[in-house]
Amino acid sequence: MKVKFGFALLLLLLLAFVHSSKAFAASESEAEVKIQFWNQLFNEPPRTAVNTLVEGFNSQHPTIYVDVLHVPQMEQKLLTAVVGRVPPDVAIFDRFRVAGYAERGAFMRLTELAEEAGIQKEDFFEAPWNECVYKGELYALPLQTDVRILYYNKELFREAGLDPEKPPQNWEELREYSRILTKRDDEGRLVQTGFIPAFGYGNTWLYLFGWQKGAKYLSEDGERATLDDPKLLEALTWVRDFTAEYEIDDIKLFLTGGGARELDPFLMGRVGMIGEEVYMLARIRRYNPDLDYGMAPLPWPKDGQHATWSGGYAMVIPEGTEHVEEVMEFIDYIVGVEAQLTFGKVADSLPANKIAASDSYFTGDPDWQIFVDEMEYSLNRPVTPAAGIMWDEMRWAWEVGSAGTVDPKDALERAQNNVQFELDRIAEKNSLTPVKWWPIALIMGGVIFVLLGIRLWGSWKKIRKSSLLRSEAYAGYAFSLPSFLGLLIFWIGPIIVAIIYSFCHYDVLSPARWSGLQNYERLLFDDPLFWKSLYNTLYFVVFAVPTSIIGSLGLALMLNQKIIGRSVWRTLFYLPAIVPLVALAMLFMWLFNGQNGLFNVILDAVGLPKLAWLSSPDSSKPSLIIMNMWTVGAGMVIFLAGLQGVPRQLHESAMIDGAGVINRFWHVTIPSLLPTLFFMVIINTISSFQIFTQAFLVTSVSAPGAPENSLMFYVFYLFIQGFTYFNMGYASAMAWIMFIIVVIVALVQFKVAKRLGYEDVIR
Amino acid sequence: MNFESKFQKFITYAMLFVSAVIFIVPFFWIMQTSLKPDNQILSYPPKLVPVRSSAEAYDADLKAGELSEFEEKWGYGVTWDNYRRAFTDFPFVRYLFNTTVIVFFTVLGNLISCSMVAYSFACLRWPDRNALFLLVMATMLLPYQITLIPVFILFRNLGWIDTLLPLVVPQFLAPPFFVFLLRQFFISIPSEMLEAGRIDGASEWRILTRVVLPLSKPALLTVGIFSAMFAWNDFLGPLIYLNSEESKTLAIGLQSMVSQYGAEWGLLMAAGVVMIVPVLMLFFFAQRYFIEGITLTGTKG
Repeated sequence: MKVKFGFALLLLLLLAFVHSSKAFAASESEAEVKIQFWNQLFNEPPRTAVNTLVEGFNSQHPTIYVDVLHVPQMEQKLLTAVVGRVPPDVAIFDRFRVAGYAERGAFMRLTELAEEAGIQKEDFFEAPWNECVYKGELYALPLQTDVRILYYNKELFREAGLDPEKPPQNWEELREYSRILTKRDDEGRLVQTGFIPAFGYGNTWLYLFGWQKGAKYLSEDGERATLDDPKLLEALTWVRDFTAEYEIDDIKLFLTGGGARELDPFLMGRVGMIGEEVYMLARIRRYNPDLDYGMAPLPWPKDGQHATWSGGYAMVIPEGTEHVEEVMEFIDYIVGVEAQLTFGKVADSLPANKIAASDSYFTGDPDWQIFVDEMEYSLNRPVTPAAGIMWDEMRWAWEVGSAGTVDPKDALERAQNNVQFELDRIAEKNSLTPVKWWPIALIMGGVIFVLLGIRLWGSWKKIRKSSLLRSEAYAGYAFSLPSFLGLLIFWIGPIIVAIIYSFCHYDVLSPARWSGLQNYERLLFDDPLFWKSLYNTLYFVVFAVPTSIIGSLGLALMLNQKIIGRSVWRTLFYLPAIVPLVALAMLFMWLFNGQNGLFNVILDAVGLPKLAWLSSPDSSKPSLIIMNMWTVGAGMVIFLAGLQGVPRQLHESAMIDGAGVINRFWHVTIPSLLPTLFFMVIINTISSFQIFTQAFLVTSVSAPGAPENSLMFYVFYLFIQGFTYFNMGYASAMAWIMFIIVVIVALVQFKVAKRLGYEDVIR
Repeated sequence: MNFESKFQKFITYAMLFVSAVIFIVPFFWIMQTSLKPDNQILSYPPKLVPVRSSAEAYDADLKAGELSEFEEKWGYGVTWDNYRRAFTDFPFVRYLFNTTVIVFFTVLGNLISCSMVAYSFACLRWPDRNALFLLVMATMLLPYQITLIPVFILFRNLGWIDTLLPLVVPQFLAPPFFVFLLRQFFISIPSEMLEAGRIDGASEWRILTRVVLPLSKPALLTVGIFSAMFAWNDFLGPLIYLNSEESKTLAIGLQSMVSQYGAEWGLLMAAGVVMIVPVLMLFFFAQRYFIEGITLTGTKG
């Protein structure tokens, strides 16, 4: 009975499993054609706006059903889906990254389709449209646009004796006003700031400040990056000097005091001026309608030009959809005047469609009018397949350059070098020879087959001799089959394939092509981030392993004594170790919060200065090590078990000999614990080397590894190269280097153990 | 009892107490954050004492001037709003279901395949046993990220992206860690018992299922618990293989919440608490096996 019940349960779960792996199967509609639509705008209110449009379309088109899914981290998810051949039919995608996908053939060309549908360039603002065009062909259609302007607090202007009707016009005034508006309390902490260049929407303002100086980032033909433009250097140097007037950690602490919605520092009246996007206007009106604010074009330098910057989202069709016609109908609806107007109103963003933007909702409101006016001066990031890397490099250069940790010139040189490398790699891709897999598979398979055959032939001869052994031996082979297959499929095979990939240029969307030693050459000699990630990882290993071992051994030693309520203590210390790492990292992000995080509250309560913890490159890794300390409970239990094996008589006789606590610890406990200690060192080293989840979680998607790449660990970088840039060849080379490092480290540890006379501890 | 050992006892208790505080305070901090409305989370100095049963009641009393000075400075009104939102703004049930399915098949796959393999390593004599065992153990020392990319491409070629298969199928191919754990246990089973079975003419499968497994319930439970916990906590696997909202697991759901509600600490803490609770419950029900499992890997190891 029991068995039957279990079987039924199993069957039920199996059914559920099959069902859930075809996640999209359920449909609420009888429509003939179902369109799978991925939306990147998962935050409110754009989320509601997208839903509104989809509902509008579905009710107007009974034969088509658009099924919308909100997908955070689209940058990485969409490419995985396209690569995995499970792409959505249509998606909202960050516009500036479109070219990278178009170059790799992941998005459908829309030039002809748009023409047929009567969608024309003239109806759209220039910047958003330009961002959709790569090599003369259209690959996306703009959904909306943003544009950056200066918001300022008139109340604070008045308090500081500035004319609230005269916002700063140029960089010099901006800096001067900022100085006037900055306030500190008696202890020197910032309580009010004027203008912080690094604060505002969209992580890097370097693009903008450079444009205002007249810098360009890409040559006309798209083949050369020009981040070494002296004008860009001037802009970054200016920002560095500006930022140097404040302590960078003060600024970071000041900023983490802010929160969502009405707790935004500008809305709370703690910031005098801020460069922000369109949606700030709606936020002011919604959360703090009493705020006396002003809006103006962003100041530009005297020797520069009036410029601002637009980014935003676009509709794209991933390659592989079967319903091109219906999808185009949907897109045509979305970029049409009516839908654009609805979207703009609900999502608090500016329509990309000019006709929609000329509606009185926008032009009849002086606050909205300034956005429409500014679109004339708005530029867009260069359209290039290297846009993703350019963004990350610009962000890094901005971060380290404005903080002054790296000289702006060096920072920009490195950024230039990295972007140029990517451009060259894309350009030369087609001249490389594709990998022919059949001969490789044949040779490798043949070698494995022959070696295995010889080995098994020998074994079979041994088995044949004895009849008693025979059945047992056959069973042995049969029972170990899962392990053997696992070894072959998930270890030996992949390791061989990884070697081959490591000598290739491989983006998964097109066949792998031989590129010789290029990946290794670049990694070892020309990629500072590789070395940085290795350094970060070793730093973590070197500090996290001893601290966690000492911590867990300490707890174990205490609990190994005659203690009241031992199991209660043990449970208490062990609990944090079973908390899922994702949850743990998230919880610690709050504990490390600059304003009301536990650690800073304690520091402040005992009169010490607050720290920026995870947001400062000096304290970010130590923060993770502290977090790691919280999980020493698992090690404690292992040590407790090991301590049970320490002979009592030894301790007693040592005591009789008059050895003190410390002496007994060093000469009795430690030697008997050596095997456990060795086991712990190995296990901890390996797991610390793999650190990923915590770093991934505490740094945002748009700024992986921040602050200043201090949290860019080895596996994290491998993941980024492989699954965000889709440089699978490069990532495979990294995997191989990691393999070699781990083998060397393990061998050294075994050697040491052998020296100490514990060669068989792992057995 | 002499002075030295009394002193030592005192020091030990004092240190235990301090460590306990260090371990508990973060839990407390997180709990109280999850129970506060947004506007009180960031107020400084932090409000530590729940003095009203709802945020509205607190605000009302504040307006009416009915709060004592202490309450105004240190008190807050408890709100369950963050927990409500964690369940409504976030397809928690869907995530929970997906996670449970993965956990179930992972445990099933691990138990079946690992006990078979461990049996062949521990109880059967065959010529290539030691060589294979050594190889399998060697992979335990290698970070699996080394094979991340080829394995991803393998699953993609099979058309398994955005299904639960890449997370579940490998679990049927005997992950080395649990093979090792079970083998350690099986070795301690007296070989006479197995021989007796063989002399009676029982097949090896029968011996495994009727003799060895019933004797190994604690070890199997330990393996089950650990593999459930690993599957529950797994992050990188779902991150790479699952795309759509419908197939996400709790770990991934939590992470996308962080990117979605970055600064809404109350909500995030509530979601974190919700994710931790099932693991804690499992722990309290099966504490013994947790401890035994770790002990088994550590000492015999």
